[in-house]
Amino acid sequence: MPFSNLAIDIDSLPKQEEVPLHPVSKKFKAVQWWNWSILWIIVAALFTGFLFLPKVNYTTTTIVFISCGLLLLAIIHRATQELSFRFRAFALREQDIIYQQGWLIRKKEICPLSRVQHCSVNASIIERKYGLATLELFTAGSNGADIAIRGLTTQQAAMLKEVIIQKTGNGE
Amino acid sequence: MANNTWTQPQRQPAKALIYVFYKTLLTVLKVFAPLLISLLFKDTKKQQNIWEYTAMLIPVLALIAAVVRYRFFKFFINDKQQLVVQRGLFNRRQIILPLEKVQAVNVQQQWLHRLANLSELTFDSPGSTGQEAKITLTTPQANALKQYILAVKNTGYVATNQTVQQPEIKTNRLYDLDPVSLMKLGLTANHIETFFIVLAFGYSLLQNIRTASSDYYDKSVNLLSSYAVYNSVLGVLIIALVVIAVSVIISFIRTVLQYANFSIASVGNRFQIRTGLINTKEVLVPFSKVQYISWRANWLRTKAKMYLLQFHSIGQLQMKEKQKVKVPLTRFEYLPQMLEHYHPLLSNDTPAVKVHPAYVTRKYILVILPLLLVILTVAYFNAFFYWALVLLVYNAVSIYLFRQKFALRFNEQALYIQRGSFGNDELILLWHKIQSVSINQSIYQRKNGLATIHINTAGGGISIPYVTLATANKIVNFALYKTETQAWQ
Repeated sequence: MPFSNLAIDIDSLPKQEEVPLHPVSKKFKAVQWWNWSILWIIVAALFTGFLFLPKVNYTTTTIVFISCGLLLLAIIHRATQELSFRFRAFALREQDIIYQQGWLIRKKEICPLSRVQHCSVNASIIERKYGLATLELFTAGSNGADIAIRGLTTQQAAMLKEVIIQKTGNGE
Repeated sequence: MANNTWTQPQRQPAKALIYVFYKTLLTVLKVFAPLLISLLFKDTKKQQNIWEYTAMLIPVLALIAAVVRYRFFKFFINDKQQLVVQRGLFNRRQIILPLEKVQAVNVQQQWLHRLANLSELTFDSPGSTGQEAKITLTTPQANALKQYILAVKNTGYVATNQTVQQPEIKTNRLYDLDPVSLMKLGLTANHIETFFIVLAFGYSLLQNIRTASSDYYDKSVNLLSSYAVYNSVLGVLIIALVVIAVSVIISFIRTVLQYANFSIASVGNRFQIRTGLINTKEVLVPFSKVQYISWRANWLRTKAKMYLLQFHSIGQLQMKEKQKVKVPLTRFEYLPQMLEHYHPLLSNDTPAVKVHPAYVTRKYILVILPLLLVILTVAYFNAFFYWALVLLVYNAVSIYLFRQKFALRFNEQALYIQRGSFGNDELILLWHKIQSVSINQSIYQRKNGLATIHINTAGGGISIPYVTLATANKIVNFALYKTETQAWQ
């Protein structure tokens, strides 16, 4: 490891890997259920509608086959949602904010507060119903650099936003 | 010719209409290309008149559209020091670009501009606004407006009497591209890429002919295949050689057109890059706006020791690859000059962080193997697709070489990555230019203590795949320490 030429002792730096992460609100599970149901109801409706188009003439076997495929996809989607919930967590440090998510690929994003250009708190109808909100952080970085922390309670989101605005002087 | 009050809403000069017309005509032609091809190849005597009248309408339509565009295009600088561009007849659109947000003003001349002594101004700014606000002016006007904007940026305000005082700026000519180097650059261009473009173009032309007239399509295909398949191996070889020769010539010409008259100078606190034979470009890159610097060479160019260097700065993310200006480094000695205002090259002596061997096996299992199965299945029905195996082998070797070559070194200020597969691709990034980082782990990586790091900057993203989790954590901790103790601008 090429650490020997550094004047700073890397091992003495604050360790992001040792920061305990707070899981997001349990109510977010309900939001995930809702999102899943709405998505798959739409898919089912579209598929049914498609079957009634004048030129579509599928045999029963084909319809059963496609339906089973869609059902399988829906189940896999639901399973990954369920599995990934356990990993969805965040932490606020003095200088940065950490957000972890994902099961298949676990992603731990860390954004220094000094790089936040602006932030916003959004809530969909479903999120509002459960008193949840999403905190979005925008940096000057490329498209993938923006962080959206989902599953926060409204109070948590407001508190985090307040801290960030105070730290950066940049609000919405 | 600075007798222009930029604060008054104004149209572009009347001459700009030529260019607006040209651009509109090009757009219209692109839309109607299939129709025109069908006119050329269509079976004669069928509905000839209707189609020909339609074809004649195209330039007329383009002219009307151009005049409308020209009449409804106005620009000015308002008292808040914002550049305002208004345009559109039905969809009135107003673009507002605060001058303080302008990172760089670019002057471009296409061949038509040069004939009419016109220039097109574009602006680099965070977001896409700067790219949308394009203004065509006479060249003296363009330079005057550019100076005006730069003066506003430097001083914050310019008095309305229009005489812009140019502060003394030190110009230091770094180098020009000499003809021999230009030839070498052209010969070492990415011919394979051009080959595929030529192939794709030929294919789409053939498809267009097919939709227009199946007769011509059959004839052309028969002609091609009579050479290729039925005659001899020699026929195939000749066709292959012709396509390769055409590719080499095209990529050579493309490169020469792009980099002829290339020069780079450091002017004040920015680089000034000029390039192009027919379409010329002038780009200013302020030193402080450079997020990271990369330089790369394809396999041929590594042999000729030539690189194309790129300054990744703010506002370039929305640009198309073609629009980005690259600096040809025909000698490696030029590199320190380019890095002078950023960070010197790190030495190769220290041990490097390498990519874990699992990178290769995982890529083979997750990408190459499934693709192999797909290709074999498709090729089972159509033997032609066995050719795709060549691409697959190429990819497999690339992955192997990538892992071999990847090396990450860093010191307290910067990190330096060497990578590439057949060619070389290197970059240098100052820690404090980082915007955010993430550590990604797939299930396999979690089990084996590996991780992939993604670094985001305002000039683009960089990824460091398959390092040990301990190393990843150390790199990220250090990156955070540097970004949180230093401002990025």
